[in-house]
Amino acid sequence: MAPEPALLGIFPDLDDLLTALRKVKEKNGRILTVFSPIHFSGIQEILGHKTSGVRYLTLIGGILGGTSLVGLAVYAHLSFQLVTGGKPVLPPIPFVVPFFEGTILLAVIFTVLFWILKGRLPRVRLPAAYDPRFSEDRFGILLACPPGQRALLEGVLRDAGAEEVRDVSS
Amino acid sequence: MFFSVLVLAGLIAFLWGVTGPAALRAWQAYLINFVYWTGLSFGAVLFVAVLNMTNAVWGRPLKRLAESLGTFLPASFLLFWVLYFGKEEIFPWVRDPHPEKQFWLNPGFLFARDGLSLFLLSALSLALIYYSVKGDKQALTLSPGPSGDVSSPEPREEFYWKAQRVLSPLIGILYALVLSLLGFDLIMALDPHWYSTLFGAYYFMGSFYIALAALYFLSFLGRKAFGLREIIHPHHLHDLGKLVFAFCIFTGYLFYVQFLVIWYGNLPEETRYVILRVKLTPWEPVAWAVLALIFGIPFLVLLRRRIKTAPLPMMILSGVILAGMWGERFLLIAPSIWEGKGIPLGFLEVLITAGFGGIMGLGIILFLGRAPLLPLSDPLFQKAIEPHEEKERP
Repeated sequence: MAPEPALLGIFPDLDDLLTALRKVKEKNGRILTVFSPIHFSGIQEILGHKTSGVRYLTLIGGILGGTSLVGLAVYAHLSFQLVTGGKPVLPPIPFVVPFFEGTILLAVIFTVLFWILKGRLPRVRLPAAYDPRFSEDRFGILLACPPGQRALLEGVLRDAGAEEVRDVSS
Repeated sequence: MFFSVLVLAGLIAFLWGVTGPAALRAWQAYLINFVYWTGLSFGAVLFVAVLNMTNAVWGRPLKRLAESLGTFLPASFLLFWVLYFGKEEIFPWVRDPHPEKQFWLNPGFLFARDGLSLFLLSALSLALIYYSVKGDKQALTLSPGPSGDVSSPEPREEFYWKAQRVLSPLIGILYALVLSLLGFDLIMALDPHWYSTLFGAYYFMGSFYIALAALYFLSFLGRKAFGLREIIHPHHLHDLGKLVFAFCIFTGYLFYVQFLVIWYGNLPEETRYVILRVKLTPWEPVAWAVLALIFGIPFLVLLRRRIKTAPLPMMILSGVILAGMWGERFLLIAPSIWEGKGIPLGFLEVLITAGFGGIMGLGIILFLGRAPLLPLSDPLFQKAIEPHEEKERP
């Protein structure tokens, strides 16, 4: 597939980036991607993206982690049947601790794993539009640039405060 | 008027109680309400102090409402001394002295140290509120623009702001020390043989939880009753809801860490206190109800994001937490004092509680009627009320 012509706008300020995103949406421009050195859910809301499904996998991981670690503790206790300090063989009160730890552990592991998978990481080749400054202190918008609309889109980006606008192939 | 009636009803009920056959119940209810409302009031001032210490922007619009809860403190200081007249009813170690603890547990020393501590913390807390309001009043007279924009504070306002910045960390430190002392002396020592080194922290963190729940309730009410809708935005309520959620978990955690250690150690002098409250009649159902009200229900409800900005459900939930924490204070105190059958909970307790609530309500109404509703001289306030794109649509 031939690379699609695109326009990259680089912004020093988050507020300018948000303004540009809103204006591009008003002009029915197609936003291919947004680069940001920080997470900011306002970007997601302007783009109209739904909340990520990773949270369901976090929940599944948490439930699996908590129950499996308590399951392991129950199995170990029943295997040895040691009564210590007059406590029951299966004491629910201290089992809260492995349940909590297991919940957090697998919830985090599931989240990180699915975050990596969903982000298709690691990437051997960086996207053509990527600029190392996007990992430092700059924000970027990559727009699809149909023939004849370049001047209009560049104007929108510049007006919003873009310090640099350049052509790239997506 | 309404709150005055509550105060009067509480006063009459208390006087009738202490002079009649239900003296023990009246004093017990008095002590429960004293530790509950005093903790709430100090916790609310701590909220303001924490905002100042951390340079937090988000909670500035809630500052005046939190300060209004601190107006109970002068009354609290006076109400503390009333306990002296009921010392023989309240403190079992007065009737049955413990020679080995005589140095610490004697009425003279207890009232001297607790009175002095209360005085110090109350004075600092009221000074914080005074400087905050004073600066705002000056801002209002100097630059009463419709937007309330105070871009260049006058030198006096800067002084008031600096005074708040100096007082806040002192209040933070003293809050932990003084409320720990009150927790040890007025609650834990009611059972002189039992001790938990974490009890002080449990009391002052629980008090902060009560204050947050009260502030949450007042914020929703303030949006409607005081026209603060333009100032207290949904994202402020969302953030406050998250804080209530955090302290719900933290309070539950502080209970559990004490409970787990006592359960493991299995020492009779420690387990006795817990078994009486969670296993024996008549306290067992109260213990389960308290657990549900202060931990179970808030935890499950506050997991949801959207509900944190819904007025009615959150006002009900705040009420549930406030009632639950009152029940928790009741459960900490009553089983150590009460020796009769059944749970000592009836009209007398309700009326005395209403009396204390009336004093708090009067303080809030009088304070908010006289002080500017917005902390205009606070340099971080303007930033806090800027529209918040991210959270306006939760």
